[in-house]
Amino acid sequence: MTNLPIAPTESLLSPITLFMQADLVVKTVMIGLLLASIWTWAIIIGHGLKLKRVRKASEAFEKDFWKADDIDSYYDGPGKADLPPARVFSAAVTEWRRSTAGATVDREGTRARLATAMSAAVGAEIDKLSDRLSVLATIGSVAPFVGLFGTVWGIMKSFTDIAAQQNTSLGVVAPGIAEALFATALGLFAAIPAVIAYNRLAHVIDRIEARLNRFADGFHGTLSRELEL
Amino acid sequence: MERGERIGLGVATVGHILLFGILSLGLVSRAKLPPLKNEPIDVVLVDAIGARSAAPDSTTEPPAPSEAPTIAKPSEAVAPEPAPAEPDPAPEPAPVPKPAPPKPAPPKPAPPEPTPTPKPVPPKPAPTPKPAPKPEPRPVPKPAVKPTPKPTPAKPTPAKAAPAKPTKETSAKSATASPAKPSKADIAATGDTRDRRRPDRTEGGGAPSTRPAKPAGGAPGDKPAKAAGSRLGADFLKGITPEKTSPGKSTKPAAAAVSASAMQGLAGAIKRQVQPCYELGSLAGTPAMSIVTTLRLRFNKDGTIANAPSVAEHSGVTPGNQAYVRQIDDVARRAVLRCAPLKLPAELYDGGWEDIELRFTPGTMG
Repeated sequence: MTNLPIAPTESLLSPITLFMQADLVVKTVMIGLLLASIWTWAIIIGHGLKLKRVRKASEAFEKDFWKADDIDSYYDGPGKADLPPARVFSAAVTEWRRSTAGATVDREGTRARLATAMSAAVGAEIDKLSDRLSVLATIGSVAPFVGLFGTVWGIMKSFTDIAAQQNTSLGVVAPGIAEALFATALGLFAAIPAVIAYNRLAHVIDRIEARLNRFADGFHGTLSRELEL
Repeated sequence: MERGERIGLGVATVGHILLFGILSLGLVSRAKLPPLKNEPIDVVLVDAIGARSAAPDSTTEPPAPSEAPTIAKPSEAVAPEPAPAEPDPAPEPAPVPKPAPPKPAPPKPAPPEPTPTPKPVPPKPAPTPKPAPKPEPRPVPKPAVKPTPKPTPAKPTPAKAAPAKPTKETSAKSATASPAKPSKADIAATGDTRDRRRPDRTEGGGAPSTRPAKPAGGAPGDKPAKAAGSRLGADFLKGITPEKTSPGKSTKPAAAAVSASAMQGLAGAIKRQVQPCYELGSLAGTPAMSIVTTLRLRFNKDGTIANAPSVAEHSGVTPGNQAYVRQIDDVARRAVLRCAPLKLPAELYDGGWEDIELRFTPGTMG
């Protein structure tokens, strides 16, 4: 009666204490969720910076491109840049040179091939830009469930403790439930930024894609006019 | 590309470590708050013990003698004879006569008039009580009896002549005026042993030579003064009666008040020391809150608990919280045991916190 495990009041809710007290399964869940959170933020920071850089560079590239007079010279100069519009541009120019290399030029066929090549290049670029987004989407949707799993497991364990000790004192129940809930907290901690970042980055990528498509259409129009000369 | 992701990974890792470090520190400081909050608990010392500790009758008795001297002094001032040391018997007329009777009894055989002057000394105690009782009856009827006292100085001769009759007469005349006299009558009527007293008095009346002689001797100077300044006498009696009553009443309550305040302080000290250990835990907010547990505790002198605390009584037990009774008892018992060596004033141990009952009222929720 007197030797009840009274919960240590000091730093009971410290994350480290909660982690150290946790069950092995809950610990695994916590570690996984913590890594997921780190990964989420790595993607948010790295990818966000990258997308921002790409967007600004693309705008600058397009501005320069429409000012340029000679496509061939531009292709050999700034057209080699490591940018989505530059790659779309180089894909179109490559296709153009192949199609117009022969004596006779099939205009319709060339137009179709140019359009296909450019849309393929756009698709490839967008895929490349959005490959990390799937990770964010996965973390955002799965992390809460993983955390919930940890919570359920932890609460199961604390109920087992209650049953074993024949005592419903808060001192017996509290640590288990606290650590269990900490798992859900970690899950939400990882999932919330992931979902927000996913929506934000998806929106940015959509805008980049739209811009790329506009650029591709514009360049397709320019090349089509070239064909008719 | 690679560089950007690496930067992102580094920033995210550092950020997480910082965040959790801050959370740990912040939550540690927040975790220190819970110990401060105690459930509202009322620990009350049961009054019965307070009454027991206030019991020291010995303390109430000493004040009584102190009353007597005060009474005696004025009487001395007026009539120096009555007695310097006798005042003690004065408040207790009954006991005094008892010791007195044997003494007078021997004199009785030789009550004869020859001895009056030498023996009067032993008899004095006996007669003195009379003057003392007389003032007692007087105070009550002060206003109305004034006439009667006057006759008494005048009476001496008739009273001497007819010792028994006057008492009956007086009892008949002033039933209210003389409570002591009727007692005499009762004594006369009832007790054989008391007959001795009566004889004394009757002999006092019969051998009034001593008594009247003294009053006559002492009184002639004083009684005339009294008689002359009967107002003064009345005032003097007034002075006596309030002194008698007020000191008597005040001293007894004073002793009780002291112990009561001491018990109050003791209760406060016990409550202060036990309360931090009284944790309802998971019972907080349950119907168990309405159960009031009273524990009976016996302490050793060093503040440790002598016996396992036993539950003296419950109140507030309803069918709804019947199931919690044992738990709430355990909580109370655990509280006492956990704070076990109580630090309490040692001088209040005997009759104080040696054996107490603690009432645990778990909050106002119920």
